[in-house]
Amino acid sequence: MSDESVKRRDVMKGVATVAAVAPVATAGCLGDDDTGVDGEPVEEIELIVTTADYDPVRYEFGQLIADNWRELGFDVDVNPTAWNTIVDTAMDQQDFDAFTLNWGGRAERIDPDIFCYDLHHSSQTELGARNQVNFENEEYDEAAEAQRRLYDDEERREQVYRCQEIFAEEQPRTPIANQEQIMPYLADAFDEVVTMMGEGLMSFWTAVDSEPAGGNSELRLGYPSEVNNLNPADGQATHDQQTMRLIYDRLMRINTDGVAEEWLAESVEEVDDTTIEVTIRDGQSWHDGEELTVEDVKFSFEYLGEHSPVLDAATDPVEDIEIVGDRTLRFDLDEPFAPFLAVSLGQVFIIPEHIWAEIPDGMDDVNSPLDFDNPEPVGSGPFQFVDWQRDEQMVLEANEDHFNTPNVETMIKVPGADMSTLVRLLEDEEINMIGWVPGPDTVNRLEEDVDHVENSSIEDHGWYHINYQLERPPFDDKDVRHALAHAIPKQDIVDVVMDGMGTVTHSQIAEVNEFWHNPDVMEFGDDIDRARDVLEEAGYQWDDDGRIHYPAE
Amino acid sequence: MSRETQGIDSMASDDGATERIRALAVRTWRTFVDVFEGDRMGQIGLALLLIFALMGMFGPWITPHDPTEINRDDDGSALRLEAPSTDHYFGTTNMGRDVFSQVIVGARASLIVGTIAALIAVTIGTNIGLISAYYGGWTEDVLMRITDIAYALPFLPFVIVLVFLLGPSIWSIIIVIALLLWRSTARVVRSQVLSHKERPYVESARAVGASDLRIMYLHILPNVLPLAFLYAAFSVAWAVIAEANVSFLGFGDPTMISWGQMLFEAYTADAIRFAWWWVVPPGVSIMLLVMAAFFIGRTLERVTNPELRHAE
Amino acid sequence: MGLREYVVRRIFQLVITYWAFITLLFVLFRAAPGDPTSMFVMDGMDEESRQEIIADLGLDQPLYLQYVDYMGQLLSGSFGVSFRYREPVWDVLVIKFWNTIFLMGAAVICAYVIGVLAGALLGWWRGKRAERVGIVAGLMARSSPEFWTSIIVLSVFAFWLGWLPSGGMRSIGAEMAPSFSARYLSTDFVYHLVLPVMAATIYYMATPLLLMRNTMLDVLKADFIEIKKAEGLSELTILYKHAARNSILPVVTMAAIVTGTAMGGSLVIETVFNWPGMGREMVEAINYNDYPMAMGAFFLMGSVVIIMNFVADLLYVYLDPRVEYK
Repeated sequence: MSDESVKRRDVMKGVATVAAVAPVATAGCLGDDDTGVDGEPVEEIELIVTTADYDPVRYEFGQLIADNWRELGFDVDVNPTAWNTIVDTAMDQQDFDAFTLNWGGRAERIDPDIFCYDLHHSSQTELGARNQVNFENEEYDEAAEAQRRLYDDEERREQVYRCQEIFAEEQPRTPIANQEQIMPYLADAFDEVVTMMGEGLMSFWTAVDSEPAGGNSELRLGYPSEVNNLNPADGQATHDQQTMRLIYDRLMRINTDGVAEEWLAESVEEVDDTTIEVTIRDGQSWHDGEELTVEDVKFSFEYLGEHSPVLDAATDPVEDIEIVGDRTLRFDLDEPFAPFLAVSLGQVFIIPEHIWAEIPDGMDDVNSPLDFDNPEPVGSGPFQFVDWQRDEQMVLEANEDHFNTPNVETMIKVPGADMSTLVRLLEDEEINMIGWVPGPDTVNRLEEDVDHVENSSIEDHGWYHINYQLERPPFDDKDVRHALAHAIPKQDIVDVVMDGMGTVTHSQIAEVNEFWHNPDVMEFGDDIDRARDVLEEAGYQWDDDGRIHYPAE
Repeated sequence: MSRETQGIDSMASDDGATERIRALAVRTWRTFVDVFEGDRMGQIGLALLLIFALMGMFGPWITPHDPTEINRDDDGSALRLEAPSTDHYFGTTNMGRDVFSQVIVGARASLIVGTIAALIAVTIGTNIGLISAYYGGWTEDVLMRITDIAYALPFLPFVIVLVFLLGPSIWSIIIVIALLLWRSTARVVRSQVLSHKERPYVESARAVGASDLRIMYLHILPNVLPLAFLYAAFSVAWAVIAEANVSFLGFGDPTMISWGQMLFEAYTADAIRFAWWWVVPPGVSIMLLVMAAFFIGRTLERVTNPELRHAE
Repeated sequence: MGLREYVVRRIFQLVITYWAFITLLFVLFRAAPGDPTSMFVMDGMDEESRQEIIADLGLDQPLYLQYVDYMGQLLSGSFGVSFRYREPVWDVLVIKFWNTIFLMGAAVICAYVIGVLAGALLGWWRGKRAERVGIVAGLMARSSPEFWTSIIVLSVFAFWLGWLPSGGMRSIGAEMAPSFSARYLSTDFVYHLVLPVMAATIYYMATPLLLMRNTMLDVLKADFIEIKKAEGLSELTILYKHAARNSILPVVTMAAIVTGTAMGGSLVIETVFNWPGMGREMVEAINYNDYPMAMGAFFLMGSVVIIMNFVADLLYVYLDPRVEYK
């Protein structure tokens, strides 16, 4: 990072510190008064929430939580903040007391590795990494590392269970709820609509396997934002990936049960725990007619591993790739990596060497693969690219030569400025499906008043939660975290804020993710009396104004 | 008015400014009373403004419900999107909040933005117009080029960008709006001052040795004040609309209830299709407040030179 | 000073204004919080990858180098590459620019035709009850922010009556016409254009309406109207042939300025009507921290405003012989 950008950050941080320090200073003065308690008053807690328009759920439950924490005697300042600022200060700089967050459920996150290891292993605490709460626990680290090494699912599950137990006991973050993903579509347009945990109607399988009704051959899918670009080396946004995976194949696909199954790979064999042998399907071809070969596959992993920041983590475990047959290649791993099939083979796009070998060197004005806008993507996937008018529509056509030809002939992706325009389009039958969850009131209205619209519903394994900065008091005290967690009105949040469209959760692995979810962990929430007891037992005291103080030294 | 004249009194000197200014103030006041007496629209404007001002000042104490509170049924579930009733005069929002109370409290944001931004803008604009016209030469060149540049900035996009940069608070919204709104005041005040500069009373003041500052602020300024008031009225209108637009696009102050924000929430919640009670009150409130400013402005316009054109 | 000298001087000022505008643009956007990778952190990008992207975009360079680069780019007619789309900003914006121009241009023309005619009529009706009603209606339209009129016309014509589509620029699935004229002259396009144009027209017609009425009043007071009356010309003929023609000058120069303002209004109208234009693109670009795109859109809008102001000035001196070239 350059000097300039560091300076800019520092300036901003300085401002933030001044703002944060001021109330604390006042609080310190209060402590000197004769309040009848010995310990220092607990610092003010700044609770960062998203703005109401970015995510009403996080905004609203932040207010409810703050109300209850105040009832416990904490001084809570709720601070609605723009999303880019939250990313910069809270997630990047780890400069926060507490903030609300939602990890989206994506197909690759059904495998428990990301929620167990990336988010909570002590090696992931440096600035910018994903353990922003600075959770460090040796026992936990052991379990999180062990689950990565075990190829046997049952054995691995034991370790994943262990992770969830320790996580619940320690409460570095308090999971609150999993959203119910209710997405609307036109009832007349489809005989059967496929949906998937965590992705709802945006899933790969919805596009490929949904059965259109007689007279309809198109899937017109609305989504509240536009695809950024179709460069498989870039693909920063989930939406980009969700679109590109229709055009580009992967060796494995996560099926609707959340298990990685062979896709472009015909068979996958574990030779030993660091060697995986993959044989690809016979007779596959690119959309431009060229034959898809095992060299393309090797090239894809090497090229994207080198150039793609997003797929970097997926290709990281691979030390070497060796072609061992006409259709067979062998991946050598640094160390055993159990999520390899789901996270690596299930994520890396297979791209044509005859096109990408030229990029960037064979192009004018393109300095790196990331600069390439890939105007006419050529893949081997079930859909092929036809046309894209940005902010109007993107047209994809079924690939008749594919081993899994989609049931629809055409797919049109329609971006909307917001959900409200998309719902309008759906009701006017301009589009026939929406890949995002409308607000609860719209869902109810569509259910009750609009006959031609149907709602598909599935639980999300992503989780709404609240983060605590474990390096700052009072969050460094496990008892405080327990008390705060007990005070969170989880059921009320689901009932009122989400209008019942969700499930209370206590673990980082959702209940809907049946195989990996540990149903037997410590549970918190909806019990403010219990919260008070916990604090009392830990020696916390309340002054005459009801303000909470630390235990006497 | 009277306090202002006294303030000037104490600075009086032998050039007769005090008497002149007092006479001018009395005359101006009479003219204002006169024009408003004969103008129904102006009266309506003043009445509307008064109502909104009271709402803005006492809003939090006169609301029947806490505007941020989630109202609940007996069984604890939220009263979502209830149609108007005797308990909730304008019904409730999708989170069960009382629309009527929000409309009352929302007046404050619009009024604060409208008045403060207009005040800053007119102060800046009047000074720039006055100084550039009075001194002329390179001072005028520089100031007028700056005014040109301010005119080159597309209003709403600029406001959005700057509010995004400064952070979404009501104060950054005020500052940013004021940063652009002064430009029209500067131009008209300048042209008016140009015509006054050559008049005999300025000549005579100069002849008795009055300083530049004195001439500018004691002799010329009182004569362009009616114009400044007129532009203040228009600025209030533009500022209220700008704030509403900013909030509607989602860049508003998230800690403050404003009418634009209410409409934005209703719009994003897709409520414009069925919850008219959530949409109409804030929309009509914005319209009425801005109309009040325009009505008053129209009346004030009669005081000033009718040749002046005022459209932004 | 002669006309030519005035024009030359005005052009010189134009250049300075442009330079200040462009520099301001640069300063503003480099001071922006966050970077273009912010929006995608939750999608699984780690810190190292983010730094890679930031370096790739040249954002780790010292500011003055970035400024030099940026100026060089602009001079060579390029806005750079969009952080978000990976495509040259110009390629994206050129389409959206025309989408916006057709929308707001149509709105300004409608606003002017209706506003000027109605304003002349109001001037003619001076003192009557109808004039008062007209003025209140005009002020009401001008007091309603564009999103509010948009919501109203949307509710009435799309939701309630169901006559017009509620958003978008073309029917979905429609084949994209290859030629420019075919794209913007199709009935489908016009069908989608009506509602947003209506919303914008209501807001923008108030200015010419009130202005036209005011100048009409001034002109009608003038002597020559009395002479025409004495000559026995019918009232309507006098109104539209003589009085209106004489009061058109300030209205025309104001048109240029209103067109510039309408650029800003596109932000709101395009958002409500899901119109794929420049205004909506700018709002999105800001939310995505896509500086080159936001700057490009802002630059184009500013350019329209600057050029329109310039045209207004020239028109004014050209149309009005009384003006001194000062």
